[in-house]
Amino acid sequence: MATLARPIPGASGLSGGRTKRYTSGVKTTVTMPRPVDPQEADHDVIARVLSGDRDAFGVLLRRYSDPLYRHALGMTGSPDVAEDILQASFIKAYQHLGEVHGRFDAWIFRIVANGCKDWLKNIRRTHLSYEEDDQPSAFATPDEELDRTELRSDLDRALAALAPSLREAFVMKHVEGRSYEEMADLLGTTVGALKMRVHRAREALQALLEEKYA
Amino acid sequence: MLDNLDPRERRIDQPTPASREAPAARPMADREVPLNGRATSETIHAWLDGELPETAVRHGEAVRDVDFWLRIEREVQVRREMKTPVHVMERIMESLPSARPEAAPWWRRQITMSPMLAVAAAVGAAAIGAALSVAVMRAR
Repeated sequence: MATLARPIPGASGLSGGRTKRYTSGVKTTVTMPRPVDPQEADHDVIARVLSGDRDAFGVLLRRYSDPLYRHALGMTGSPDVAEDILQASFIKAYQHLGEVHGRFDAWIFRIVANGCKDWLKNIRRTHLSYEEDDQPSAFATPDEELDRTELRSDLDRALAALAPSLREAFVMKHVEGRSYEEMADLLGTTVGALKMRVHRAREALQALLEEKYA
Repeated sequence: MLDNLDPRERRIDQPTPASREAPAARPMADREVPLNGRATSETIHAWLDGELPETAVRHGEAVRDVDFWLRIEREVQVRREMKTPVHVMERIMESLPSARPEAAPWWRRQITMSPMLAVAAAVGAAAIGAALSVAVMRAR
């Protein structure tokens, strides 16, 4: 039996210290280490950048790019688009760094999330496909890899059929492994509303996929 | 006001029925849930949310749902481990403007209101109000 509730290896979350509750359930909340160089708080790094240390911005980039990349990839379904949104978001963040009040991670998340929503508003896609040549494969045999390719493609199509808010909730919960509380904090909504969105997304995905995979 | 249903008077910016997208071609709205699927049970949601162990939900018909979500989770796990490609990080750092980011202008900065600052502001506002009142009274 696969154990799904395990910490994400090497993952860096937007806020550290989350804990899992059950070891045998599907993993939705995970223990994440505080990002690179936990000794230096974000606002100290920002102060260095504002004082002219351009390279210090790389600390923020390394700290937060992975979960933000996963978010953009989950929302857009395209590595190229996700990369472009990530790049545009970090450049925008750099230019407006002096305006950060409060948490940098929540601020940059909103920039990326809005970038994804803007892209979804403007672009209609009928097919999504991840190209993960440089990403590790978790499947041992060619048959498993083939099955996985098909499932990946079907899951992409099903995710693309969801409304953006449902897709966002599902991606944040299941792909990014965030807790409902953290999602509510980042999206500025309630835990109850997010649970409803995630539940609706699951039901929609199951309806779209279960005939083939259940 | 009554709607004008005469198709000859349709506004140019209104979509014609023929140009409307087929339901399958557009994303589902938030409140649309496909009717052809079985509703996912609350216990399955609770398990997926980490509130119940798998052993508590793997019974009867739910076994099918559990296996389905375990399969989906396996694919999701791969996505969860994705990292930002190194070339993207490099590209971002290279694309940063050479000009240093400017601090926000004073009117966009956050003000931290301490009790002393609040009292001083109140006293100042009261003094200005009193001065204005005196000036108005004298002018009369």
